[in-house]
Amino acid sequence: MWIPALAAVSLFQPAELVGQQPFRTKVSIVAIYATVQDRQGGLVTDLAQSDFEVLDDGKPVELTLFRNEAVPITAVLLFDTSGSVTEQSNRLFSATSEFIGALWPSDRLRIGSFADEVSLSPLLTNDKRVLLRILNEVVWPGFTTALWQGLDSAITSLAGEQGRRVVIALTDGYYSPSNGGIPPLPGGAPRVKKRAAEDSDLMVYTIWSRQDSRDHGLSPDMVELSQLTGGGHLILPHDADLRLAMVQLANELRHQYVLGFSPARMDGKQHKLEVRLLRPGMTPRSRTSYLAVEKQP
Amino acid sequence: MRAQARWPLVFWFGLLGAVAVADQARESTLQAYVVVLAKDGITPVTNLTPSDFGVRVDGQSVRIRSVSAGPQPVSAVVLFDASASVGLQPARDKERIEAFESSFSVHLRETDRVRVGTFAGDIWLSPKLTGARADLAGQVRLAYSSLPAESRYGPSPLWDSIGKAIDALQADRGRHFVIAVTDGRSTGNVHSRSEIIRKAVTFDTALCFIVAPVIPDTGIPQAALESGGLWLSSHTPQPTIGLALGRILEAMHGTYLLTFEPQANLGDDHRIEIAVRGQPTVSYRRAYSSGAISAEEKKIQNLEIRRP
Repeated sequence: MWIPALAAVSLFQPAELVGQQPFRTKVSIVAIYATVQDRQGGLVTDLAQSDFEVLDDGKPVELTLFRNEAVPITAVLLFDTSGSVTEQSNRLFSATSEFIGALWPSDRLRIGSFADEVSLSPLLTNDKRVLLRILNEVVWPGFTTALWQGLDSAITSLAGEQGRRVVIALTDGYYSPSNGGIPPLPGGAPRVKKRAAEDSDLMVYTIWSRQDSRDHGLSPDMVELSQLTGGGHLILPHDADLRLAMVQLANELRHQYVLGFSPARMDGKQHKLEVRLLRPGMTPRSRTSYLAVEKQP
Repeated sequence: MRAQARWPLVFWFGLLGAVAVADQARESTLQAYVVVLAKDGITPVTNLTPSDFGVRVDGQSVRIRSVSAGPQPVSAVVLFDASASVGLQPARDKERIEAFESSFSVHLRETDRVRVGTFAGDIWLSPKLTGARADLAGQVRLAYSSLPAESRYGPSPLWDSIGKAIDALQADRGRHFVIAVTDGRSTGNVHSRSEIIRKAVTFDTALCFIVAPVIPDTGIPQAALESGGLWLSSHTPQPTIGLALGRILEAMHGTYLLTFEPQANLGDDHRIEIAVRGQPTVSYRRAYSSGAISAEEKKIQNLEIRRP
């Protein structure tokens, strides 16, 4: 489970990222985006390459890439606006304005929603004024929950972007089919999980705020999807400070380590990945597998 | 003098903040289209004389040079929201197609020219303006069948669609207006509502809406008010989309064209107020600009929409 990072607000200094290009993986390098937390759940941001060990199908590999600098955010913020979650969605809309406010000049965000329709903004932008305007457009509640269609579309919408790509889903993750409306996504949840697992630059985060004590929480499918990609999931009490959670999410996304290695062979198979820390008292979180294929440059 | 004394009463309908730009920039006279409806909110009032009108620009009375009563030739785009939120049953499409054919097409006059369109994940406009009813019947069917099936589960870019429709009317003559038949849910827009309202005012295109069911806070009443258009909902006494389409077309035919002389040295953007003696519902664009089209407006004019 992703625990909100406790990093100081003073970390939000945009100057260091101005003009910096997003990290781009080379064709033969597998990039791993890793978050490290201490025992209290705080972000650990000062580790060196020598603190990490990466295992590919259980065998240690030599790291050929290490970065420990603020990473620009390229993300889709995807709202569940189905009727059953309307109350929480309204709180999330409000909290999202804080997230937008915390964006740096090099970050880019797309806002979308799903319910009876899947609606993604055509704009992937840093313009906060435009983002806040779009945020106000997605408030229409629907009846059904086109969860997998929404996630699949969000992933597709970032496909042309370089470097790390993030989908932040604000949902309880429970799919409800439409009767006569939007058709099910062919392949459904397994298809989305497979896509996410095979895309080493993609991370999925899920945030849900319980509506009441009877709330069933986050769906196992969304927990698995988040874990597969090295993202995180967060289930908040109904009275939690969502604004703080969103700002902390932005902070975590900025302070991930980039570890890279060249696989011995690109055999087209799914490989298990494990990131270990050689220092005690710290927990890494990263994707758990990669697909060993050459990337298109 | 009597008319002057009544101004405060006549201006009960108020004015919203206005921005605009426009057309008769370098001319000494300005034109404004005015729709006047009777107390029922439906019936166009067509027997008014110049003495019934009063015009103010930036709060100052101006001289009316002429008032031309209808019928005015119209150039229009009729847009149908085809996204999932308005219903995807074939019967719903058929209802709208038949409403257009039975109630809109039959009210068309010889000089009128129309394009039709649909919007959801994609925006589709018929390729040309036409007044031929037989062509239009085919075009409205094509408008629905041309949208890819998956597109109908996508967003509802109401304001981008209207922006594109305004562009489509630019080169044509007559009274320009756009009618959008929609539930008012608008998502996935590149351009904001305020940008499109400004564009409508700039290019003197009235925005009209048929909204069912009514959803609050859509900005639709504001768009209609500022651009000189109309909006009808299930609360308005109109039982069907077909009747609403016909009523809007008739109202636009019944438009008065006022020519008036603004004061010199007006600067750039100006608010217009038009009052009609004894008439509660008066629709006209609320602003104009005497300046040239700015770079920002050119940007708005050249809508470029790329969808993910």
